Amino acid sequence: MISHLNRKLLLVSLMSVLTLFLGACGQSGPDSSGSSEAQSDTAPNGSANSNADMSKMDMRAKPSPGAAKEMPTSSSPNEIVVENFSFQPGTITVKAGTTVTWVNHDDEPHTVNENNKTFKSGTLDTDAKFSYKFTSPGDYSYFCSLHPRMTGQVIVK
Amino acid sequence: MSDEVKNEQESNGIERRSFLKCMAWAGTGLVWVMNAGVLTSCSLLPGAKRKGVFSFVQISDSHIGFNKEPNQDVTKTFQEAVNRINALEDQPAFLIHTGDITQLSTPDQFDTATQVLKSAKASQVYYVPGEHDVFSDDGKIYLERYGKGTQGQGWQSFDYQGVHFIGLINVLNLKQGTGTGLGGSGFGQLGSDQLQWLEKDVKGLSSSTPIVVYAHIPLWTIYPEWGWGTEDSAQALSYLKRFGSITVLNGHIHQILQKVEGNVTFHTARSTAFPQPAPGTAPAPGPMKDVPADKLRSVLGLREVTYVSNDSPLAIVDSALG
Repeated sequence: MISHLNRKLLLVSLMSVLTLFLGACGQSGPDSSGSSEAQSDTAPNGSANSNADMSKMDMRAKPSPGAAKEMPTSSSPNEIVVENFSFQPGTITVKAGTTVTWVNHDDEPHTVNENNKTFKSGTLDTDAKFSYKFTSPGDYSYFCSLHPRMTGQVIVK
Repeated sequence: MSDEVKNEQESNGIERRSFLKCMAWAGTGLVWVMNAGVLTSCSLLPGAKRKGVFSFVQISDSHIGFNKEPNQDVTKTFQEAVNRINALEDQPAFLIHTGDITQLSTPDQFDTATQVLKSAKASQVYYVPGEHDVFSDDGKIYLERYGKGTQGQGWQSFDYQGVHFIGLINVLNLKQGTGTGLGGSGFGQLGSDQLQWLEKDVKGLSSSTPIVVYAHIPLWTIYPEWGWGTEDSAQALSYLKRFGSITVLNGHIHQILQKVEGNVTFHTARSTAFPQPAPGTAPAPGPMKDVPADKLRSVLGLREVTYVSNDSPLAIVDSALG
């Protein structure tokens, strides 16, 4: 019985946390991996084409993505934004000799640590940047040492 | 302010002496009372009375140096936590800080934390680091300051009035997460050295010894997608299985979750700095920014209460939320 009551108490407290939370973060849903997923209902419907092809092209080759790109505002092509506990873009391909810059837009510190310790950013607090010049070709995988589930890759050609 | 919990009477007349019988959560910390071999926790309200052999307080995730929404003065809320502890009629024997003492593991942030804790009447504080305390230098500064009397990379155990306390570290040498679920999942990890030490540490103890384990990252899997678990915790717990009463205290997730599994009761504590979202309810973990100033202290955990009794199979909903 006691445990019953307490379970209730617990639930209530959990729920209040939840409610608070819902009030707090009304934006983007529980993470749908970003990139080109957001194109579904506004499909323009292939109209003037030969009927035979329609079924094929349906979903995919949508010409007008409209305002689909609400991803972070990475101004330079060689900049990786750290936001919502993820590196975006998660994979980037650059030529040897390119300098890549990471900028942290989270309110949480992050780091950029290459798996084989080729480079290590140290602490990147909010808005801090880290740059690294990739001189030799290869695949460089990196992660955040604070949140090791955050991973990314730089492919140098 | 006053949904104070009346669970203290529960500590009378307990038959199953080797189990955690009841506990109360109160805001800035928890008071744990040993009573006839039974761990009981009580609310941390000023003047709260507790009957027991001794008590201790757990505080967690003070994140000294954090200065953004929803709490631009985490030193102040940390100090408030200490003030509350000081206001207890029966002073705790010691405090346990379960990590993320600082935000960025800088010397000045550690200094501030130390300064605040100096004002605690209970002079003894045991620590384990959180990832925020060690990530910038692999724990060098942390160990310099808190490593005295510890083993290996900072883990330790001690006995207090018949209870065996074990402080484990699961935030060092974190490896890249490679996928979902266990196995290279970006979880906390204890590592083989520490596990070996643990096995030896408890070997000579009688199985009736109450065990309290404290570590930063939860020692059970709460939410793999956010790395809220410890890779090799099952191994650690296997060494403890034979004990009649095991209480596991963690921080890291800035919210209260509990679970009872056999003789093991797991608890996570609130932060003194800011709340984090419930598992899976946000795109990512991290500070919940939009907490109104007048609500802040309530989500730092004041007055949350529950009981856990050993005969309920699973007293808490945890990873199911994911």
